[in-house]
Amino acid sequence: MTMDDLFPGNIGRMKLTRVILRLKRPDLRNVPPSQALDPALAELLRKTIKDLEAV
Amino acid sequence: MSPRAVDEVYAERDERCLRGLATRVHFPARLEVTRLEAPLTALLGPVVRGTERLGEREVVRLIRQFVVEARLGERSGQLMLHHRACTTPESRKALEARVISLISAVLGEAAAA
Amino acid sequence: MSARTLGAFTPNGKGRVALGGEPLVFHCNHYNYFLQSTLLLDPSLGMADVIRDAATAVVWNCLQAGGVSDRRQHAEAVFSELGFGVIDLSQLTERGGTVVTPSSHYGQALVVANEGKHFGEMQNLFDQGYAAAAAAYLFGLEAGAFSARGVSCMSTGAARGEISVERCATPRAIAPSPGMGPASAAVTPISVPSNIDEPAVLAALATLDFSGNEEGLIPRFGVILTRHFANFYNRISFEFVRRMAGSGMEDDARALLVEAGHRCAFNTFGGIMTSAEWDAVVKPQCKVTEDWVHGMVAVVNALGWGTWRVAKLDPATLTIAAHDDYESMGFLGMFGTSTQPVAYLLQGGVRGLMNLVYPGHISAGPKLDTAYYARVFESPECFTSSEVQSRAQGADCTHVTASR
Repeated sequence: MTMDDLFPGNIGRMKLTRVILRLKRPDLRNVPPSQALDPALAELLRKTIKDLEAV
Repeated sequence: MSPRAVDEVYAERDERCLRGLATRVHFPARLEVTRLEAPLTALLGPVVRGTERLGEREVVRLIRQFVVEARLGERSGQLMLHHRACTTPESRKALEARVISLISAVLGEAAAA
Repeated sequence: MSARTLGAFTPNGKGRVALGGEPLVFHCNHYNYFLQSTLLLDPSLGMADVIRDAATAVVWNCLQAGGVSDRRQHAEAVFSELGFGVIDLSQLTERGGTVVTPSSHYGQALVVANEGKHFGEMQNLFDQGYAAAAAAYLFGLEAGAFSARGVSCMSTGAARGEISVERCATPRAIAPSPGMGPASAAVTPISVPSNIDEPAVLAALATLDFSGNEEGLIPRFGVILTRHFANFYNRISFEFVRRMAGSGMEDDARALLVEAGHRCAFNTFGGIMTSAEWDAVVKPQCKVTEDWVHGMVAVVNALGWGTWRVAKLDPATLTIAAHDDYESMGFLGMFGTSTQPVAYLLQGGVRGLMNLVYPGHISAGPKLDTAYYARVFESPECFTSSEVQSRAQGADCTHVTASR
């Protein structure tokens, strides 16, 4: 699982921005997009995406 | 969706921006929309009537308060039903069915005449 | 719609209109939804209180200037006329009480924008702030005399909205609204020719009914509009950016405010350009693709956002000169000259307009669904935008360019 997988394209970039604000994690902007994510981080990001969709 | 017959009367619900609150009822363009005003008024019950000017077109608004606003004349072969937000999906569907039946009946009368 | 007891609407001759001295702007439920969900992303910022207080400030200002003798009727009428719903203030006393909203834009129309899904948290923060302001107005008190909290909200599935209003032992400090803001330069005439007769478009729109219906809602152009308070949007947007300062996410915050404007453009402009009103009034004048841009700019000039002028237009570029843009005017009135551009809605709106007309081919009447949005936004021909000159930074007007 990579950042590109979770946040594809322009819409994905905007979704990532929302996740960054939600988690207060500006460092996420610097994660290489095609690098395999740590499973815990991947799970956190997936959960946050789901939370934001359910707001 | 398979293409509709040109004589068909059917409802097309707005599932995008207004999500179920707005329905466009299609009918043959040969039916003068002015023929629908009186029967629709009778169907809807006590209505507040108003008009708007859209370019060359006059749009008639029949408002049954807290139920629906029917807009006639925006486009030929169509009328718009703006359901009020306090209505239920079931009541909207039932009203649309009654409007479709009404239009079919008016078409039938026109054909017989 | 039967006559409501309102103050006077006063245009300023530069594309803005005020009620009780408070400038009004039309915005749709999609913008209200996306903007509010952005502001509430991080609960620790405390933006819910900012939203309530911003509402209280503008509403109190507006009602106070109304000059209407029946204050309760006035406050209830303004809520409905402007498209916020129906508000029942009858249970209020000088100590507070319960305010009920049997219909509510924030309670119901944001659910529509959220694809029909209810929310986990109450979305009627504006209504709560309105209730507090109305209570203060009813009893001739200052804006911060009451506090308000939501008890129930239709956005979470309740049958109606209920707001608990309480008298404060010490009035709260509410940042005042600047009203129209400072005076600015005259609007320049239309300089880029097109086939669009803007005065005729504005005259046609002026005959249409944009007041709240019997539910106090304004369904129009396939969206649900509010005729909202510009300084409400300004206060909550600018405070959001201010609270992000030093976080390393300030640019992200700004980008999301621009995106809110982009979503607004997609839904409202897209809805307008596929509407019966457009077909009747504007489309007959459109001979070439660029006329669709000019036509939409003409319609924007009826929304109270200021006056847009096309400064440059070709298939790869649009530059809009915005006179009296409400964001810049609000910033100037609240804080004085800015060090940065602040016209977020304007940037998103200009970008959205070009995306609809060019990669979006709005003239073909596409269905405005999420698949279409994705297609346009992901298109390699998609536009980006920037604010190249800012009224808030001291220029005569704001220039925004969308390009690809």
